[in-house]
Amino acid sequence: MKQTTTGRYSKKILVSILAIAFIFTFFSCAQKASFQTSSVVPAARGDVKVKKDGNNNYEIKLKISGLAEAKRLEPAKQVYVVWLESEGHTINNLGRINSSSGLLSKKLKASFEAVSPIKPIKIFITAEDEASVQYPGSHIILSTNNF
Amino acid sequence: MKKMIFPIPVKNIFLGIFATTLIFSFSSCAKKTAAVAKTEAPAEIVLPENKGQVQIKRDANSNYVVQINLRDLEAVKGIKGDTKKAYMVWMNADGQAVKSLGQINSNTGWLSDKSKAYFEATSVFKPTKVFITEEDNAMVKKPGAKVIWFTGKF
Repeated sequence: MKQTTTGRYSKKILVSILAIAFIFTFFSCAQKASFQTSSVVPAARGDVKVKKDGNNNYEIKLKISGLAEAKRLEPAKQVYVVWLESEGHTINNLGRINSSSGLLSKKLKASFEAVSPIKPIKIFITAEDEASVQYPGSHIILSTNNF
Repeated sequence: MKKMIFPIPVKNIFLGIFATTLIFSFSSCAKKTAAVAKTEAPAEIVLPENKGQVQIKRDANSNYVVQINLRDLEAVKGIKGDTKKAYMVWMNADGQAVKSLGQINSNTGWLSDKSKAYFEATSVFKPTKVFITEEDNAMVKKPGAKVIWFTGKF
């Protein structure tokens, strides 16, 4: 009899935890967008997550796998640069992203984090000769659709 | 040929050293951040006491990471209570226009210290100075006249 009561309680706790996890999944306010398939780096796939942080800025997180090194592109480039497009089509350089194979994995992985006070409508990556460029070049490697 | 036989505790010590070396070599490969500059913010005009610290690091992508820790942000702001102003963090870099890094607000987390503020942003340019201004909204492209906190030149 006692066992049944304990079982009922643990079931309730489990259901509550599941419900909370479910609510958090839906209400975490994170937007997720996948990069479109690229003709330049067809093996590359990844996504962008955008959510508001504690300072009311937009936190942008990128995860990409299968991204060939910029030096192996045709024509060869030095770096990949992440750009943010906002409403009004203003474009900002968010920083460089490196593709590297880890010690335990041969997949060419890249990850990147940045914050912006401006709401992004699109994130894209270009291959450039230097990271400190003010405007994106014509070699767009990966891009999301508009959020 | 005499074969060396180690007693069990010695064997364990060797194994421990080997495991520690292995772990250290793995973790040192994973973390590629290194502080290149660290400065205590100098006393700013309104508040003579030192209220914060800025750290500049490099991330795994070789971007510069700007981390700001402020104590008693309300005092730094020079105001009491909630306002609808935005507190914007800006940076200067050699040969570049002033860049907006984002907003900074007091911590809001359930268990966090509300009197403190933490901010982190990345930039492809090496920052030479960081400062905070009070603005009417976060969308401004140039810093306004009211500078509430600033560092010296790195």
